[in-house]
Amino acid sequence: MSLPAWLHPDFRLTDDAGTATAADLTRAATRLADELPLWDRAGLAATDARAILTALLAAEARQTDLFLIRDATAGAEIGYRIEGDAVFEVAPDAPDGTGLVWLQTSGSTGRPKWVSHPPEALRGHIAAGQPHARWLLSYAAGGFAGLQVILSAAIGGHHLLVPSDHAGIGDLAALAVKHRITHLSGTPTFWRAFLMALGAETLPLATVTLGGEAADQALLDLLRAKFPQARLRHLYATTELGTVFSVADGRAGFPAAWLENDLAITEYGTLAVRRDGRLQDTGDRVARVEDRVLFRGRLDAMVNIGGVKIWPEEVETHLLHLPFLRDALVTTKPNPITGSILIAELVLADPETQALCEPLVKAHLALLPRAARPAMIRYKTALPTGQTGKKLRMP
Amino acid sequence: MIERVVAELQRILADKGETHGPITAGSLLLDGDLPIDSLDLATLVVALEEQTGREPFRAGFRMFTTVGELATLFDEAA
Amino acid sequence: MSVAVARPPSRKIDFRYLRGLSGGPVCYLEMGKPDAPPLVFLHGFGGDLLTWHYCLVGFVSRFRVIAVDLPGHGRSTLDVGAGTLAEMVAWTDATLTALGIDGAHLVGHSMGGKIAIALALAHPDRVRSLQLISPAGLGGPFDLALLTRFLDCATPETALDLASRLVGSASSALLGTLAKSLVTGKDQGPRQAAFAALLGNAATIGSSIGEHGVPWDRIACPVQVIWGAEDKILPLPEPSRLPPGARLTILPGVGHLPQIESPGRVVPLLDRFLP
Repeated sequence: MSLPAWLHPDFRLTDDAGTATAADLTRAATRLADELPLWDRAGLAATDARAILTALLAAEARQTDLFLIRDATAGAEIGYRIEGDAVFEVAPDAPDGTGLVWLQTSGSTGRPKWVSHPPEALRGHIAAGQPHARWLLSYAAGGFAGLQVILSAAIGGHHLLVPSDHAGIGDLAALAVKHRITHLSGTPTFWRAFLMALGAETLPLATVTLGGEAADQALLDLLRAKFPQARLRHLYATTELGTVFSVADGRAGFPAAWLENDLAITEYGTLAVRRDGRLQDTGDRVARVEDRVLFRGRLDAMVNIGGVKIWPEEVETHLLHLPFLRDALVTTKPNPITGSILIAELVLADPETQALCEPLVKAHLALLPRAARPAMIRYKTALPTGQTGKKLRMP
Repeated sequence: MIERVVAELQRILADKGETHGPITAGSLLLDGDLPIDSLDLATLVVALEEQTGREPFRAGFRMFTTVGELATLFDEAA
Repeated sequence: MSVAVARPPSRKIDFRYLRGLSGGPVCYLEMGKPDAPPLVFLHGFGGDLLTWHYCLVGFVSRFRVIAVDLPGHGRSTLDVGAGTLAEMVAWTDATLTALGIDGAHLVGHSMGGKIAIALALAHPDRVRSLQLISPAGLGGPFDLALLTRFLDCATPETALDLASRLVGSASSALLGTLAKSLVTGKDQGPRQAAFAALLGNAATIGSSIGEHGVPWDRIACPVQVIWGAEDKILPLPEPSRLPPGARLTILPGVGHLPQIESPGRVVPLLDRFLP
């Protein structure tokens, strides 16, 4: 039994417990692989980047299916328990012993379910790049995006900084500045908060990556202004499909020319991806505007307001054009007269300017059709986010 | 409560740049003289719910046609 | 029972007015710190002070921020006189006096940029710094025919077409809302006459200040220039027409309206240039 070869010898990981080198991880993974009997499945409570990486190496060496468990209620009965105290029910159609890595979908809408990836596919979009970059992990370690960052650093031979579980956005900004981070990946919601927390501090970022939510042009412009020397890209990925594509031209959406390849727009106006010989609907609404295809939010997020079809995320994107907003969330609420109405929660860059901003926000919203204008606007100091770093849209 | 309904209605009308006559308890909210539509009415209800913390429509729609009737629904919803 | 209730404060934008040079109204928006250095924004042809409404808030903690409707535009007087540059400069100079301003940092877009340059030449003590966003008046090509279409932008279709020529490729998401604001900004009669006077007088919009381009050596204050890479109305002129040694930032994907298309990039550029 030998460990897979993708772990770069220069890789280092720093977390609360200290710094581990590639050699340390190799030793730990070898020990784990020896302890792992020839079980078909193993489960890990997926919170710790160091443990996850160790488990990925050991499980791949043993051809053991690895389940990264974030939500105990979704369930997986596992043959060998690496950490945690509970036993779970197995997903009924899980194949045996092919060394897959199983992730739970993020559950931002509805119940989480299990999705599998062959280990090579998880690493598929990762190129080695130049070593000795310094990455900060901003995502949850056990989700698809988090794994991409961890694996990127491990394969590339970089230094990965893992914040502690209770770290707030201010702590992450301080950590990034202290270690002079060169690579950072996060959701658009994370980036808006991070830019505010960073304030006037600079970072020698070589790459700025966005994923997990649609990146709007206003945010891309802010990032370009703040990090002019960085390579700026946003990834489109789903837990089911993995990374679908990466856009690096500084513009929101993707080129319409790509629709001739493995991407298509369905009759419902959603994006479909050709994978394994068939078109798979992502449920993400898109719209073709001239030479570009732009994201419009989830299809199932549509609401009917007085007979007009409205997608709250479009209103949100419109609001985010205002540079004096740090972030915005548009949700819906039932209403006895129109069926539903929109509520907007806004976070200002400078809370002291609220009285000034209110009429400007209203004037900006007046550019939208009436049904799309939120009936209520609340000013908040922060917006709730879930484990994945995405805004929480469910009430 | 009536004062609150009238004040909020005036605010909505001022935002729209609409002029209007005096608003009384008997003023019709729709199909009357007030230049408001269902979207404005929905906004009025949301604003009143937010201000009072009461939800007269939580169990379902309840009929009202005038300012006074709407105010009564809020008064009754504790 | 009729209830007398005090009118609640409107949540509309707080436009203010004062008397301008010819006696007509000057409409302006003011925010920020009254005793701080003044930062004055001048919009372009066919626009109004709301052109700047994405940008203003970012400066309120450091400056007395003022955006003005130029004659013939917005809610200011429709009287543009003969529409000459000299008249616009005199009007702006008088407006600054009426606002109690001795010297200001200026930000000018397109025609407003040209007026700002001319003001700096005529009254150097008035202008502490000059930030120019795709300014007119440098000489070089500009699309007069396109500007003329502002005079008859009556239908949503013509507005959408005009909008698509105003903005760059990165701003396609803005087309619908921009077109809407173009249509609603159109009044007949007196305003169209004012626009026609300004357009008809090429000295105000198009041609260069000074026979051989702007005499930049006569402008002592710091100058910065911002331009959209895809400006179809007023393309970036050749380098010899730009202020020598001044910082020039070209924004990819952006058309003639950088402060509307990409306030996220424009505001930091303006902010970092100011003291």
